[in-house]
Amino acid sequence: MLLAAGLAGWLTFGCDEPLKPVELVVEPRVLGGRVEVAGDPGRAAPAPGESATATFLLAAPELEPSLGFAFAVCLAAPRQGSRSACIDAPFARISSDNGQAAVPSIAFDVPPAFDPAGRLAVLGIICPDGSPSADGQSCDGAEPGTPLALELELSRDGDVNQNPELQPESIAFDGDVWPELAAVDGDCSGLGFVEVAAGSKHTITIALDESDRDPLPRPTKLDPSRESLQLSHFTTAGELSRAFDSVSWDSEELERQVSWTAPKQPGLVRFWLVLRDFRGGGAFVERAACVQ
Amino acid sequence: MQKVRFFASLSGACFALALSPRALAADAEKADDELEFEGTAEVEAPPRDVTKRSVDSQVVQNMPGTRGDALRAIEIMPGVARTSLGQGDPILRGAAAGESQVFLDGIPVPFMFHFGGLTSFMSSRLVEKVDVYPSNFSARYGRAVGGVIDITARDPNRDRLHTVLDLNLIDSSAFVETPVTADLSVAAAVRRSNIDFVFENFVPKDTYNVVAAPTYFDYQALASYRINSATRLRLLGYGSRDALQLFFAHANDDDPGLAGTIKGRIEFHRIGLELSHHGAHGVSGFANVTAGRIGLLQRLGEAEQNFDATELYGRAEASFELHRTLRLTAGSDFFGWFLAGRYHGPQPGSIEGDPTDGDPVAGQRAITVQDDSVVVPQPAAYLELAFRPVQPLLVSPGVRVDYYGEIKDVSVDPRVALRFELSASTALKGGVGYYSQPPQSWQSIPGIGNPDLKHFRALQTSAGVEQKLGDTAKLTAEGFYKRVEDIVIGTENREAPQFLNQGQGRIFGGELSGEAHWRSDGFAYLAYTVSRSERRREGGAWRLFDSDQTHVLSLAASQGLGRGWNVGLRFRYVTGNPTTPITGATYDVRTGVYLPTYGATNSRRDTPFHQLDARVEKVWTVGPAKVAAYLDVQNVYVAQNQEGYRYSFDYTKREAVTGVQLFPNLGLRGEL
Repeated sequence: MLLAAGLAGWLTFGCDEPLKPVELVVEPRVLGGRVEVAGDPGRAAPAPGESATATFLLAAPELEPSLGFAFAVCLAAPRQGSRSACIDAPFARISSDNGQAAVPSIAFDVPPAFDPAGRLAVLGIICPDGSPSADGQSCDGAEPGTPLALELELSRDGDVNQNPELQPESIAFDGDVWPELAAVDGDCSGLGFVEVAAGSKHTITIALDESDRDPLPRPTKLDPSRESLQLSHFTTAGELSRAFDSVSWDSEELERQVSWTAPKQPGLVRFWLVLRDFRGGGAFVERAACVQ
Repeated sequence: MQKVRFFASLSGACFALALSPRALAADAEKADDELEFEGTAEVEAPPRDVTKRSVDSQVVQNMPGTRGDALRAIEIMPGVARTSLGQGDPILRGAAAGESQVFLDGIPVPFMFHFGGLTSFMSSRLVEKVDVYPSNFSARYGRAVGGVIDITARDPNRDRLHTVLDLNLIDSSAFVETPVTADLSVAAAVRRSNIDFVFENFVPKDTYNVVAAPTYFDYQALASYRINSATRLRLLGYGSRDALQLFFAHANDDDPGLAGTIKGRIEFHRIGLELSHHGAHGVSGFANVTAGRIGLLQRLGEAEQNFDATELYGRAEASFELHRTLRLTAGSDFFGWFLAGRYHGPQPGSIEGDPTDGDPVAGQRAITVQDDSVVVPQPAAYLELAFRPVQPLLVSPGVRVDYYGEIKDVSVDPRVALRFELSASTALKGGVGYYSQPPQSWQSIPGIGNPDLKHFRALQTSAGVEQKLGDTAKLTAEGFYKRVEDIVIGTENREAPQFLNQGQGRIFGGELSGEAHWRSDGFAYLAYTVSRSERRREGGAWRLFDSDQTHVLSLAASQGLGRGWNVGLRFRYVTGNPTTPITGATYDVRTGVYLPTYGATNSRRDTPFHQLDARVEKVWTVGPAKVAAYLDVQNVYVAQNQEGYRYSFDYTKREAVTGVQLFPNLGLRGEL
């Protein structure tokens, strides 16, 4: 009943304000992840017998959020639904109490006996201001934590998933390359950040590269011949015109723009850009602007 | 009821009249009488189905809240659940959408309403009546474990040319009927939506580009030729098309999977020929064949479903009076689809009881299936007896045999209906029988479904009493119990073989209804249903059915006030639909969306639904023409009826979604 759903959707989309703006980071949140194969960080798909690391982007209004986390890596159940699950006991685990590590990640070695046709699942929880429970299923702090799942492919003959990349020179703020600087507390003026007037409107441009879209096996003409990409943008203040952009596999347009209106209050505003290929590959960067 | 069409007369008036000795005599005397064929019936004959509820065109036209739509008027009947926008398939006595069949003159139609509930696919001007069989229907109908809705198209009037033009906010329509010769009359109707006008002028444009605004149209053309006083030939062509296309320049913030083109189109076009004969000596019969094309296209970003099919339907039935107390009816029907199609998108799950159907599109993996030679041949045969061992008692045993060619499966369904007339005004009735249904045709296609599926089956029982109150009013009370086995459900995680015959259902309830008609312009309806419908996976715990509605109360009344004025009110109270609570969410790093964690399926309910609708019409007569202005207002007191929840992106916040607010539909109608 897509027709009916479409009609209902037409009546809904754009009519209701979101209950929480997805593009606004007002509390610690996971925004993305990236898997890097040891010795080949551009590759998101490890082969059986290889080592890899999965790193997750936790964004927060504060500079150094306190967190704990627990992850496990396993062979994913061959599900067609949207949820990930293990088909077997995890072959790698990590549990990090609050404050032990600044960046949530897990390193793992893929068992050599695994079938490359399978997928891996990284399952776990991130606990802002808390530590994971002993079973890694919940958090012991005041916040419930964020359960997360990442399914990634294994490296196969003729189909090796590479991470898409957000190249520094491809990210522009009002037409100029947006410098990558570490965020600071306090007065941000004169430290090299992009400086903007309160309430002013700006354009963020991201130019993707054709190499970001890996070719895909195509059993039928209905199947895409290469990856689709999703680009998302988040900020701690001000108004982004939207959170997500998509680059469909059959689109040739690789440049995306989003507008941002600076908040009325001065201070440093942080931004995160996340790029993903829906197969476990991803990239993320952080930028900042100083509102005068 | 006037001019009973032949197909209906077989099932109702003539069939039962023939079982009455007095009627038999009258029948013999009037065998060659032209009026006999037209079947003018003063009294509705006892149906051979346990429960048959009908609404005629006069009631339809004045029913508040329906915009004069014949099919929407069935909402006033007991056993018919309330459906919300987008869920237009009928829910009869706790059966899921898709478990009941809708027929036009005995031929199945793919849907009742444009855009899942907006307006019916057929002009009400061409509707003679709508019969609703909520369960325990006769062996004539099959392929449904729920109920049946049979729309009867009426013959064009033979007196003179009639035309009707109707213009309102929702759609515009025209209707014409005329005699051509003494034996040939024709009628045609066409309708087109006006919502694209509304769309382009009142809907915010900053979130998407409209490529093709939502539109629908439908048409019907009917020619009726009287070959002789007992034989008639009818040619009926009809079709419908719904289409919509939007373009999202950017991914949607709530579900980034909603991006790019959203396109949908569903259409069908058919032509059918029916030859019917009502001869002397209690012999009657008909045969019809309908052929057509149906097409469906749905595109949602990169997901696509596209199929086109040739449809072929046929039905033949003959009825013989073997003895003055015994009538035999034998018939066969055929349902055939020959389709080519392709699908690229998420693996579909259970049609009912699967909350993950509402998961963000972005989070779902795609499958691809293409098949250019799907054949769905479903022939069936049925046999029925109507036996009146004593005058007050009518026993109608029957059996139906269906073959489902796409899964190479056979069902044999015995049924029986009983009716005992305690007096001229009081009748007891009851029935029991088996009812089978094949899986949806796509559910058995390899790659997306399971070719080893079998049919599923219901045991239906019901009993009740009918009490006439004079010539103008009637009360009925009925109870029912249904048990459904081997329902086709999705596998737990949509993995192979995708679907299994592992669902079960049980439904029980009671219904009260009353109706009264006075003069030619006044009526009142009361319907109350209390029921419980539950489903489970084999071996699991029972849970509520998606559309289980414990209490459904409908009240409607319409009254002419003279000088062309007519006013009406309709009130409905319905228990809120079950909902599945969301207890948390997991962030899916691969796709960037949160996937909700669900609590027990259908363990909560929306708040109760209640709504008052009103209709006022004024008709001016100008010479031979009539001009009417009408206002049909839905939800007069603006009840905030909950239709579920919408959630924040991370499912930590929610708010109730409400249905139709105050919805006035102003229209003008001209009749000549």
